[in-house]
Amino acid sequence: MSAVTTKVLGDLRRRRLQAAVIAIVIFLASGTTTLGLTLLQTSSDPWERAFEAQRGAHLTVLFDRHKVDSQQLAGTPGLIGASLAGGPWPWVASSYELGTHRAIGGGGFSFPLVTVGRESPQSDVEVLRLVAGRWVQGPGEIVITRSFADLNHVRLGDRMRSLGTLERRALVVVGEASDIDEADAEWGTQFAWVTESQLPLLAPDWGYKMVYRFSHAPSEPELRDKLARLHAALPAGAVQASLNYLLLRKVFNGTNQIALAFFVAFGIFALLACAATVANLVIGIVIANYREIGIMKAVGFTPLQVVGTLVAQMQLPTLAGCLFGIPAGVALSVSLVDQAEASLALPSEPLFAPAMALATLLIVIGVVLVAAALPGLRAGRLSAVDAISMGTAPRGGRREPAAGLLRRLPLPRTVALGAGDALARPLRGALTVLAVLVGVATLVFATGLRTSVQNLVDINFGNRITDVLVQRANAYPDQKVMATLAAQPETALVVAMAGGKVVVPGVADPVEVNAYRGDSARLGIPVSRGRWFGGPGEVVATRAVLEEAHLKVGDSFQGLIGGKAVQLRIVGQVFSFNNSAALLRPTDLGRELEMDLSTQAQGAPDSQPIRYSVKLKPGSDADAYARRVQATEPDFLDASAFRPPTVSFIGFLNSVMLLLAAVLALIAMAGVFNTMLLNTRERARDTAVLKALGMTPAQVLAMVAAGAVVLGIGGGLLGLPAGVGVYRAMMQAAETGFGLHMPESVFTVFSAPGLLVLALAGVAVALLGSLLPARWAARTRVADVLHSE
Amino acid sequence: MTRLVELIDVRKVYDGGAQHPALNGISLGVERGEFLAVMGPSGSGKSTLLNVVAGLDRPTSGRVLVDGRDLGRAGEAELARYRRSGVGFVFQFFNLLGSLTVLENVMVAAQLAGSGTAAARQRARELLAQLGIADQSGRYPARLSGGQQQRVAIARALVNQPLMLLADEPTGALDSRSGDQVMELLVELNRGGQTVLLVTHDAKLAARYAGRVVSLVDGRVADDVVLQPSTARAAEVVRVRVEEVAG
Repeated sequence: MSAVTTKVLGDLRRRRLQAAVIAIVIFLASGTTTLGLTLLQTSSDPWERAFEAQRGAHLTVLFDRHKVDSQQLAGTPGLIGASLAGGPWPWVASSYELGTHRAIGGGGFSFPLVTVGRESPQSDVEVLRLVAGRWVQGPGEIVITRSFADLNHVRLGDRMRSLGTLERRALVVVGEASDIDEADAEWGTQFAWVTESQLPLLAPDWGYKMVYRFSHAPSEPELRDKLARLHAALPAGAVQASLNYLLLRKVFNGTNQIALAFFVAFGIFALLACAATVANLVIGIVIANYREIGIMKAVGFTPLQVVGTLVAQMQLPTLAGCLFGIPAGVALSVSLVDQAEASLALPSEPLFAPAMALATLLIVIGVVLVAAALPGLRAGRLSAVDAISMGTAPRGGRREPAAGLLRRLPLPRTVALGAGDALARPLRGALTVLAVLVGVATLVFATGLRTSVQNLVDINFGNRITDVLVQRANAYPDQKVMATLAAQPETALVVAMAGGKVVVPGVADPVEVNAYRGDSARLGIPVSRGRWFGGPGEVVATRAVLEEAHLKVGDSFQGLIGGKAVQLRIVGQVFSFNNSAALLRPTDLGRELEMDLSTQAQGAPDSQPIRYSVKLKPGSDADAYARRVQATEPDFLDASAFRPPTVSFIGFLNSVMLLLAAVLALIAMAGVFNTMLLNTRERARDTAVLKALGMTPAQVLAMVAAGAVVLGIGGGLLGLPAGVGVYRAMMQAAETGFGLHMPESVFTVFSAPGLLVLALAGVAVALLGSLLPARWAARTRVADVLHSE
Repeated sequence: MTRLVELIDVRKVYDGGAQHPALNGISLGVERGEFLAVMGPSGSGKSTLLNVVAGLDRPTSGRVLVDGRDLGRAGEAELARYRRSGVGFVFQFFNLLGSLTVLENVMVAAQLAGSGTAAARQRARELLAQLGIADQSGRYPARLSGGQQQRVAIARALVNQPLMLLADEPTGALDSRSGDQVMELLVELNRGGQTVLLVTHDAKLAARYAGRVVSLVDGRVADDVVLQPSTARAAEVVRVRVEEVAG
């Protein structure tokens, strides 16, 4: 065994506790880093694989059957250079009732089903993968998506009633399919399939759907160009809407990207905190062992060997930590990726990315190497004589101004002494503050991000004033709904909403319209620029519309509503995360215009609302109200007390953030533990003297804890702006990455009391980390310490 | 004089040391105002005796009474409170707190005993002046000579007007001149009524300055001599008798 090995093993035996701390910290950090890197490698992989496996459509277009027939549509692939095509398939957006008088979608008809008529799940494009049951074989049968079935607890054999016609045709669920085009049912409209002959019977306003695939994956401009060619070649108004694969991929990967950003960020934070802890420990070892280092050099250790012993005694526990941490990170990533793959009906594949595991190992070893070698170099450069004399010289009055200042604070003496001790070694104190800072910054960042996502969900789902949401089937008259609602004594306000479309110059597809009747400004839909519309002709648009049409707030344009030109003026920009009815437009990428119903009526006088947001008088029972309204027309009305649905992604996010924040807190705690251990051991003699002078064990505890509090306050206060800064940077990146422009309310996540609590979390972490060293110091045997000199 | 300290058949055994207890049935009394020197070779138990009297350690058996208080029954907190005002400790290597100034080192003992900052500062200044080192108040211990540091330690030991002053080899780390100065100081304090318990291996020192010398050998009292005002003959007597017992 070499001299270095002997020394290293001996030192590790002597410093078992600190080695264990390093191993635990590295375990946590390496696990987090592995998780992030593995997800980084695999995040887009499942969707890509599913897309290719299902021969997904690069472009999906919906057509008005009154403007174009199926024969014309059959010639469109050649028009736009598609190598493969599927359709034309009939389609319609229809609402369904499940079982007895229970509408689907949790909060009412929030998720109408886009029903498509297809004789087979197989096709040149858009192969549908059956995950349960079988395909439809005749009338009275329907296949739904697995996501929809899971969300609404629909089983094979259940009956659904289409509410598109008065006949309310009953359909039996015979199968579940997974469709690459579907977003998660919580966010997006879902598809369903019936036979081609069945489709027209479900609702009168059906159209055609075509799907196209190209020999090479087209870019966004290329897709726009192809759509333009379709518009040009077909009668005006024939193209009703479109969807492309780029949007779907972005949406699918959206949540994964957010989670991925967490893990990578947390991994970086964890490594930073580890580096601070390791550096602190090595510095402490060097300071406490100058004499020993001098003797090593006198005996014949070279400078490199001296540095080597310090580095090696850090690397050995590091390797031990990685040995368990990396597999743990891989195991955790497997479950996350499995979820994504399952939603795409992909078989679960063993997930192990050796490259990422190796990368993690090398990164962690590298960080520890630098953190240990830099302070170790100081020890290596000392001459033997200098080192020995530094090690044997009496501890002088090393005066640190900050420490002296703290000792003179008008606090109980023991507290002031302990506060000063925290900064007696400024570099050590700074590194410990860094570890706490990282922990607090992580908490701040995680809290902010989680709250922002919740705010986004609230914007999407939460019409703030809505107590009851009522939806009517097309066949049921609007006047009757209004009369029913007006007749209820609790009704305070009703805002009705109709759908529709408007052709905006410069925008490839007709834009979805939400037309309101009533005091719609009170719905609380956030306007990110300008204001809500106030009268006829005024509209509020989403960012996607403005960008595509090259318009801005204040501009006017002529839109086509129902084929008629209507003068419209943009008075505001609205943020919409909504997945609207007619077609999948699962994000703000969504093109929408909000206007008064009277504006829409200028082009489409027959527009009728189908959704009604009801605000009740204070003290009203929303559930009772909804039941009463429902009872007036059980078949064609759906009334329910409005509750923003629980989005499972939020739950997932909460769990992930809780886990990762706990990891960082533990690392910070380990850093503080390490520092307080070094401090109390260095100050063992002083502590013994103080006890000899009459300091009680409780006072010793308070003294040590006071030092930890100082470090916690420092880390907490500095961690706040750091965390807010990282949060802002992440949100900016999310905005840019998703092409969103989120309203300011999304960023309203921090309050002064909330930030104070987060800063105090730093203090709490520091206190917890100091507990054991404080107890050990309090138990110092005075006689042993003082007479061992 | 009334008895301040009473040790009754005190034994102290450390783990694994049952065969050779540090204190082996010591019974000893210290009168108020007495200047007692405890002598003995290395390992005789003199430092252990001091620790037990100071409440820094507990006897394995026997009783230690100080001013009527049984230290063996006291809890840690009570012992700490006892040490604040019951004893003033002077160590061989001074044991000043390096991060505090001279003045603060003296003050801290008063503050631990509950004194306000202003009162503690006032008292500390008085003591430092009394000991002739008031001009060093703002300096840090590392800047002082050994003798000066020991004076600071004595000031710290006296700040709470303790029942007794315990000095463990107070001149051990000093040159002879400084050592003499420190001993003269202790004698002067004793003349003023301060009870002093001194531990030393130096027979000459003990005989020259103490009024009574107790000799320990292997944890037992080997000799207990009340000395007349110090003479060279008395020192010789003490030295010979210690050698006889140790031999």
